Amino acid sequence: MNHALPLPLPDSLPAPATRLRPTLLPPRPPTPASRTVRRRQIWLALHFSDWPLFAATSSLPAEQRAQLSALPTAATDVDRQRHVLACNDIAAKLGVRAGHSLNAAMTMCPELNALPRDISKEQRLLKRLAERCLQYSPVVSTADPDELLLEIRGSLRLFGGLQALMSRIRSDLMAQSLTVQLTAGPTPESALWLARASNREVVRPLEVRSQLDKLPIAVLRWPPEVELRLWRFGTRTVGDLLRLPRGGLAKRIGANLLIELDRALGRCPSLRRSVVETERFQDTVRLDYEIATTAQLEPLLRASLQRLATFLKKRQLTVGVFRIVLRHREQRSTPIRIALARPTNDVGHMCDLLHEKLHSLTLTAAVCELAVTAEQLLRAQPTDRSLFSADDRQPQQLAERKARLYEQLVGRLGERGIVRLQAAADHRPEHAQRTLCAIGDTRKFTTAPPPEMPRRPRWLLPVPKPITKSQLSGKAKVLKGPESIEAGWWDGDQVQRDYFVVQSRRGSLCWIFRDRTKPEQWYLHGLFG
Amino acid sequence: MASEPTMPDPRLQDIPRLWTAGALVRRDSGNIPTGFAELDRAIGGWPAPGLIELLVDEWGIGEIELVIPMIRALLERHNETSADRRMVFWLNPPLDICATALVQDGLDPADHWVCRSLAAGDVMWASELALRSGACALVIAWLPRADMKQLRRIKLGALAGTQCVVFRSRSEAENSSPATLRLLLQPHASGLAISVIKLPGRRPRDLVINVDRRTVPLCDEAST
Repeated sequence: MNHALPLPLPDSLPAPATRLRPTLLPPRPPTPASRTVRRRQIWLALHFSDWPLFAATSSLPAEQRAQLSALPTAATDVDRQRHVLACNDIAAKLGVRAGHSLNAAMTMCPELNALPRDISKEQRLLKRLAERCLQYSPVVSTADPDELLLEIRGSLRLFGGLQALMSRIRSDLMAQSLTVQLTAGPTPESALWLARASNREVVRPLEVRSQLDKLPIAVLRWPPEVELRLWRFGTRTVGDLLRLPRGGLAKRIGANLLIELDRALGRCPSLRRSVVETERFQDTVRLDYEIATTAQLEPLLRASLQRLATFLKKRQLTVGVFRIVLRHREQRSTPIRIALARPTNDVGHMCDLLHEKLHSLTLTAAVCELAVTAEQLLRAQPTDRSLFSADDRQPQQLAERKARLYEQLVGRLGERGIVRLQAAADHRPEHAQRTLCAIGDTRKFTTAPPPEMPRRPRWLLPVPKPITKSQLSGKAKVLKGPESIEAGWWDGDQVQRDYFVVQSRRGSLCWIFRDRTKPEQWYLHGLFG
Repeated sequence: MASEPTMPDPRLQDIPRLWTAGALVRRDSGNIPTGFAELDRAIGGWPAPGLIELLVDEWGIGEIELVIPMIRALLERHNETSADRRMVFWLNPPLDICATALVQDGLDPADHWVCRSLAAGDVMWASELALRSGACALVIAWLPRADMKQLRRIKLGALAGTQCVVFRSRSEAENSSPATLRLLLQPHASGLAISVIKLPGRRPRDLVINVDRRTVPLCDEAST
């Protein structure tokens, strides 16, 4: 797992007896929550209203976005009726509300611009915002789809108090034209729920219960059937819910949701995954003098790769792709991309690949700056090594040895220089023969040819070679044939051929055919090697 | 012919580090049966590991047929799972290798890597790299022109553990070569004529062996 440990844990866990709870009916934890928990943590919830609309418009060009903001616009869900998820103020003034089906919204406002929601983009944006929020607190977690949680207890002193920190975060986010509701509370859940209801900014531990009591149950975002059920019980607010008998409620709506309530009240710990910033490596060297030959360049790049290796070792990472950019004074810079078949942190191997790459590179101009960037940083899998292994450079695993050989060959011969064979189920010899990338494509296509298929020659000519009549009418001896192959009318590459095995004058066994559409013309297609 | 030394008593096999006198004699246990009885009698199996030089001028006379049993034996010798097997590396073959024919020979085409149309320098570099990588079971290279020094390097790579077969022109038979075994192949009316030029531990002999062309079941329905 690449995720960080779930942080933070409250310093004091509930009494041991409460930790082992039966799945169906959790016993009521001791109330009120211990004071240490309330003192230790402050959770700041960031609720982005109109998040689907923001995400849908975020990638549009600025003038188009400005145009849209002056028109009624809504983001719609991807379901069949395309329910409205969020709309701007102009649409809201005309009566469009979140939850309307698109038809209903169009009736209210015929000139509505409906943008479909893009969930993956929303997630990417949220992750990016979470990384941005890492400047305020080391503990940031995302709450899908449109919320962030920051634990800010430790940041208060640095940023000059809770109000100062909150206004700073707000202005930072407003600058990106986001509408956000901030609420600070003692537990993650209570902060989130209060932020959704958007009424309070700071909720102190002692007022949590009274504030939660007033919230409608819709802020819990529980499954619709549970919400409907509670509605039928006559439960309208969280307060109503908390007043219901615990045992009966657990039986009806499930114990997990009760635990969520306990978490909100601080009766049991809430565990969340922290967002971890994606690692990046960039190393730029500005040269004092210009370099015109790759031989002089190599030691500098090696030093750069050495720094990359130190970086990888410290973080226990491996690299999948690294790029080198050679910048020139006037011309466009020369990029070099080295992709590895297997991620590695072995700097010696990377230098070998670099050497081959530089060997085939011709510099168009003198280099004045180098930059090395690493992509696809992955967690390293430690490998077993022999204690007494004399040759430390030779990898132990066969798969890795294969990958290294492949990388070195590709470095010099190019991606297409080395292929793996594959037999396909087709009677036409040209189509039965396919080549794959030697490593990486692990799919297995090879199908055994039918047993009654006559032997194919081991050598195939890339293109059938026409034979002249004099070559044919010599002492060539027909040994076998004809084998008629007629196929391919379905894909536009039809063949109608009669194949014969003949022995040439020099003793080679040849596979020749006559094209039935041109009966006089014979072709050599293969040799039985 | 390869012959296993026989243990005099099966109970002796349980004693660790016991050497029988038979084991002290140099035996050809590392050799791979060629799959052809006459050839086995003449050369005692393919020397392994080693550099085998086949001198051919024409293609389609059964030259691949000769090495197919060796490929099969080498792939089986390294007892690895099928998902992660050593490769057979074809370097610079003169024509395309037919994948269907390999399947018909009982081989998996996915085990075969092919590099075609390489420059002369690249062939030498790639074959040496492949031989030393430890990822290949067999390297089969076509070396149109290779000098003594380059062949010696290839042989050193082959002796490090990976079997190597090189195809060269018949005119090279005149020149000396560091290869472990050198065979000259010529077409013959009933198959393949093989002349042994160089053989380790034996006197080079000029003998002709006929290898049946078993791949092509011939002439049952032959017509003009």
